[in-house]
Amino acid sequence: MKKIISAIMAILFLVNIAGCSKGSSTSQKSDKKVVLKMWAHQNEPWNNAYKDIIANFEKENPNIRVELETFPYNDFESKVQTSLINKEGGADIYELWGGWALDFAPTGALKEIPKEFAEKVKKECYPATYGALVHKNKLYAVPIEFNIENGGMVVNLHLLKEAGLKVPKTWEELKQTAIKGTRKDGNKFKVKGFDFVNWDSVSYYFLSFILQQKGAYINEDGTAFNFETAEAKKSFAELAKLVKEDKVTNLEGLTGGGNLEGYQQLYAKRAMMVPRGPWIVSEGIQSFNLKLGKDFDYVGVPWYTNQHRFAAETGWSLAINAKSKEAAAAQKFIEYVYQPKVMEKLNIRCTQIPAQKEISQSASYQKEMPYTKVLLDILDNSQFIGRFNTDRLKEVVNDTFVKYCSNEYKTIEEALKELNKKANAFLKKK
Amino acid sequence: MKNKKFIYSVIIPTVVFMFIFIVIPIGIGLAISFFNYNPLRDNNAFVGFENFVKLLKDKEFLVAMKNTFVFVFGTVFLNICLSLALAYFISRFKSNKVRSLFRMIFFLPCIAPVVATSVVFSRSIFPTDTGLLNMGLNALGLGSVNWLGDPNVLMISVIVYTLWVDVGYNIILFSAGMDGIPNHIYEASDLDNTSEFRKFFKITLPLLGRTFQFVLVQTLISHFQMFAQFSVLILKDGSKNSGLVLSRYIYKTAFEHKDMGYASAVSLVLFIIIMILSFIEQKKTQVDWEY
Repeated sequence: MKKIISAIMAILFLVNIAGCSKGSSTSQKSDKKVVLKMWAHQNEPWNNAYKDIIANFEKENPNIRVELETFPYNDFESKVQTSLINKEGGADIYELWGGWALDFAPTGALKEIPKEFAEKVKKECYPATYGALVHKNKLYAVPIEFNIENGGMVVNLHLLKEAGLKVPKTWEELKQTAIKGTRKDGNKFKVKGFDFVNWDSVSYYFLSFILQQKGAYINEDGTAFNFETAEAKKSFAELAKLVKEDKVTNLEGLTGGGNLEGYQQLYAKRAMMVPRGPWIVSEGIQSFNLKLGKDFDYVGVPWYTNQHRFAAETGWSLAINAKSKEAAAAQKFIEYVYQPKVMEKLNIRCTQIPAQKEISQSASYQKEMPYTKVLLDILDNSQFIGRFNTDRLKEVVNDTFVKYCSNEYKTIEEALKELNKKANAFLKKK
Repeated sequence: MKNKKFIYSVIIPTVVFMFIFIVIPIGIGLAISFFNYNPLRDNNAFVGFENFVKLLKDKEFLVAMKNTFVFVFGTVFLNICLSLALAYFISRFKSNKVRSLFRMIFFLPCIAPVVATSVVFSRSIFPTDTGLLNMGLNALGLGSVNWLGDPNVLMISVIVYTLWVDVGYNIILFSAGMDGIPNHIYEASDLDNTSEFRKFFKITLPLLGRTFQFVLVQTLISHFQMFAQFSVLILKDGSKNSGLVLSRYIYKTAFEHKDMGYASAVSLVLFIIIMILSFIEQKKTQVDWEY
């Protein structure tokens, strides 16, 4: 009996040893494999493009595995913020909105991009695409797109044709086209000629008009706004006139009351021209079953003056968590994504305007994204909007615009004085 | 002693839970309100009562405060009146099945998520050009109303929506209270040929004292904290901030402006307002007896 027990014990011991040795060899192997966690917001085409890039990266770097985790956009900022404030957890690589980097970089939560690579990025990308990613001359993320809400608009070709109108080439023509194309039934709009009243466009065109008159809306060191200049007054008046006098649109895009956004109204034949970024094109094709070039087109918004200038804010980028234990591998991944041949595919699949000058000028990109040409041609006219919370600026500009168009201010000077005061208050608070 | 052990074992975990998740956060919130606090910063300066002083000069806060009171008192008053009346009419049906059917119909909106029903109202009922309400008005030969865009009408629209979504809950509570009133009292009043109107004011309402008190304080507190419909129904707080209420202002200040110190000060004011009103309401509607 004793012998049997001894034999069983010996077998169990050997099995145990074998198990341990097998386990440790696996763990040694897995120890060698670096695992990177990447966080991005949920967007099917974007996420699929990342997955393919990751697969190719892993083929070239068999010792690195990248795990992509995605979150609904509405929760993404707070998720990123919470993880970066905490000392532990979170991801190694973040898909980061430029405006967020303004808050995170000064806290030391993001890892600085190595100097040599940072210089390369700054040299090869448009300044607006990395402006918010820089803190004290150091770069804290790598831009993947040029976020642009200026210079392009969708036009409903059927409405233009029905009104016997053509795509306008100058600002004056645009105003006349908008006036002629506007159709009303009493106070009710049947067709809005030029619906620029939305969260982004009023502010962006206001700033662009100031710059086009060789004016400035913020001082050189970015510490104070000035909206009480002659250029600001003229710009504000020009935009307000389209609502108050020309009546080519109403304030619904800022005050609410409708069931569709301006560009969606265009797709539903309730607006003729709507300025927005190129991201709206895919919705027209996919959600409204319209054909680009037949039902609608994406064209340039004529310049207000012959000084073609506009301000743009920094869009999406890739950043590394300062607490990441695999920062070197994360940097390797970001550099891989940054390569023009990889980035171009990403930009095309995500319908992004490229951050890199080389890609924006490449024939292959332009062939795949022909409707973006009107924007690619003007990227050199851009400047970085400034280091402030752009949503807060939009909030005060839009609020003042609504109040001025609703006759709550006696004069335009009074409106701009109030705007200046409110804008500088939040800039000071920062 | 055994009985006491049982009581302690039941109460202590609840007290600990409340302490961790209610008392401590309130304390932290109170502390934060004395700082220029942004969680992203390493150093957050102590500013004393600066945030509270700023509240008095903050026009947006005052607008939010005014809108909150208009919304709460308007909705709570209408909600109580409507739910009481409906509960009374439902209770007058003899058949249990009919009573249950009506209660279920009125309770249905309470089950649906507020965010989802807000989207339905904002996309299908309220829109100026294509909304059901304006279609009805136009069919009657009346002009369209900008339910969510006109600052003079916006709060009425939100109140109407909130009544639709919330009145069923109070109908159930009042119905339960009415079911507890002995039937022989109504039978006695029938012998005197008492009108329904008189029965309601002389029998039902006085005997509903405790239920009424509970419903009122619950409705008051929940309406001060309502947030979802203001975020979904209204575009960016509405024209001229006509839809800005304190709960939205707290969220905006904390998470959009990232000024958590100031947001905590606003939260504290809202907390104090709810506490004072609840205390007054408890004192005023106190009842010493019930059926």
